Amino acid sequence: MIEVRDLTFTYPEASTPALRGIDLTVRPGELVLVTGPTGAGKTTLCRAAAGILTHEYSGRLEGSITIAGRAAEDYRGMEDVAEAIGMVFDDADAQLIFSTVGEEIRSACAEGTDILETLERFRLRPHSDQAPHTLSGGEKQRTVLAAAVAGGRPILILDEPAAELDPTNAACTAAILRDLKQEGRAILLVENTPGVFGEIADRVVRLEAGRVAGPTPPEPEEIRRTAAPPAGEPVIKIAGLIHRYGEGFALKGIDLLIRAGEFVAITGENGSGKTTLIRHLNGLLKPDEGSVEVCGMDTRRHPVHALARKVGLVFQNPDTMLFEETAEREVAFGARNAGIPDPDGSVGSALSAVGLLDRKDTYPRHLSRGERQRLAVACVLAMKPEVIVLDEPTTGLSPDEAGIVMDHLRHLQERGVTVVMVTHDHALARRYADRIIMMEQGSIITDRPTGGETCRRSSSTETATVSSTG
Amino acid sequence: MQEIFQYRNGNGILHRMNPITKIAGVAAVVVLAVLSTDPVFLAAMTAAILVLGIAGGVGRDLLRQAPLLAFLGGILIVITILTLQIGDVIFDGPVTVTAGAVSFGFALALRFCAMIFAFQLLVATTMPTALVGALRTLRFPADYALMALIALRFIPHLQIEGMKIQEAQAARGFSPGEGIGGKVRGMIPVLVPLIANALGKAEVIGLTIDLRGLRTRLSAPGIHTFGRPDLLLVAGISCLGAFFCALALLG
Repeated sequence: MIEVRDLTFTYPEASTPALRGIDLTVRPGELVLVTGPTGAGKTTLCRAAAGILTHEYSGRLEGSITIAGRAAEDYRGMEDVAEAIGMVFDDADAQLIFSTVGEEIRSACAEGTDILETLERFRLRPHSDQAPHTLSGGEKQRTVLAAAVAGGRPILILDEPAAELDPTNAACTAAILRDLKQEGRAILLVENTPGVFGEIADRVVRLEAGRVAGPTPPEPEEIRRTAAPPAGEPVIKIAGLIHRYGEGFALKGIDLLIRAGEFVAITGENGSGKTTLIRHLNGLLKPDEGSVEVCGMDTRRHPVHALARKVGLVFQNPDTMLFEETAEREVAFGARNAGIPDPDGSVGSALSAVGLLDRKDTYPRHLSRGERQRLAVACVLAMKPEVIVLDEPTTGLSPDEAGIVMDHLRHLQERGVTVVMVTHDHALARRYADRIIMMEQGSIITDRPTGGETCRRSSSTETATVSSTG
Repeated sequence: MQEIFQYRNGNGILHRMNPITKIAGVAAVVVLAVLSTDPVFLAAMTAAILVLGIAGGVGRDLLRQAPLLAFLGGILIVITILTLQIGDVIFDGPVTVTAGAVSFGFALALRFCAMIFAFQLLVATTMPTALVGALRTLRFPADYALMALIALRFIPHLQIEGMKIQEAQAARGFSPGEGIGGKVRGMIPVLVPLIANALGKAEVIGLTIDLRGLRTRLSAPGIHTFGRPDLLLVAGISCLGAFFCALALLG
């Protein structure tokens, strides 16, 4: 259904090709998974296979692309290509155009099509009348996928569909794709790492620097941590924290104590309350009931900008904060706000820590997704906080990039900085954290040390209290 | 978060009305609001739109906007009082306030409320696809109809994105301060990412429209039938028109 032969593509104004001599075939009933680090050319390959490079881009394209038996250039335009291809981009929000889930799916179907079956199949029936922006990440992704599939197109192309999904939602998406594959659809899917899709893929192709590379490298070995300094005084004290959203509870009576120098991972499904909890740590949210004290400051009594000098929060999406003209100035913004005595030195060491010192003069939005994520971490590092809180810090990063960020966080922990990290990646949590807190429906259901020789000490059993209910 | 200009599911009288009738109704409200400077007529028209909204099951959506509209209306009244002096002087101090300026200020504020409320009723009770179909029936160019659809859809998205950006900058210790100076200082770190992110989405939106064949599918004029709810709206608008003419003749 898709046949790419000796494809080389160079973006306008780029000096080197984004893709070099790619050969790829996706047959009916086959799912081909393309993996590789950020900047490897995965998204470019998706766009090539969908005919987007041929019809929408002005770069230099060599080689051939065949879509459903016709050369890509023989289609009249993207609307013509759309008869054969459904595509899901990595940004689900930008693909939700209509006011309800039902209308979104109906818009992609022929007049008079019954969408009930589609709603059922994609587990969206209860959300049919819901506005897209009120859906969870997994529901948004399934809505976009349903709309891409709804027209009965034989080819499906997905660009990082599970980048922001928890394991349950990723598995749900994988199950749907397995069914679509069995129906005979040709599926091309791109992800940084195989993950759950590795189990349903017929072939895995690894890209590196625009070329087809060898097999996927093995997972990094379990790293034995050097003995971290003993945990110090409590820096985060949460007692009876209740947070309400409308008539429901986002947090139901959380009790938690975290000591200086601990590395804590918070895990749980989407909507379990992880992000709500960490937004309390720097005062972005205030308790409806209970109290949150960070570095001796009651979050209810101090403004966010004052708490930010003690607690650095790295958001999941770096693009919500980048506004300066260079990476260096971006990092200096936070350091200046925090009143760091030597902002230049702090900026340099923060950029160096995340491996971006040589990109300090680059416009931040020209950096790759992984580099932007590392820049966001550097922005917080330069403020020299006592506690660093990160929301999914490795989303969109290749294993190598994630390693750079995580190793530096561990160095900081060894110097006494407290690290609190929200992640869906249980392996990452086990590898780096001393203590793993699992949340479900607004409560802490387990709070355990990671165990073995890699676990520093049983601080959690001494200090943490498994949640009560609210 | 308070969402503005978003479709609400329902089966009230306004939901059952033909979108073309509603568009014509909004156009009539705009024309009457622009032609009239009589606060009594404008207040009556605003009240009538509110009653229609309540009858149509979207009254709460209109009332939620009342504080913001009252604030903006207040600014309009103050600016008018400061810049216009017609009629009897009703206060003579550091600022001279005239009866004509107060009356005209109220008229401007009510005009603004009436038009916003009417537009809100249209978009809150018309499915976006039906709205695009109606615009196409009225020979609105397809690309502009799609642009209107996307603009409406992305209002809540921009609201949410703006809040996230403000929070992200606050988490970096940014405190622009209070008052107008603070608002101005706080604009660049919020507006730059907001605009850059919105532009970043534009390509994906365009490709999604093409890859779902929406340009063709939504380009076709909608099929619209007229019924009793449409007649009621036409009658209501006619009454307002008659009221306007009567006031104009008497005045």
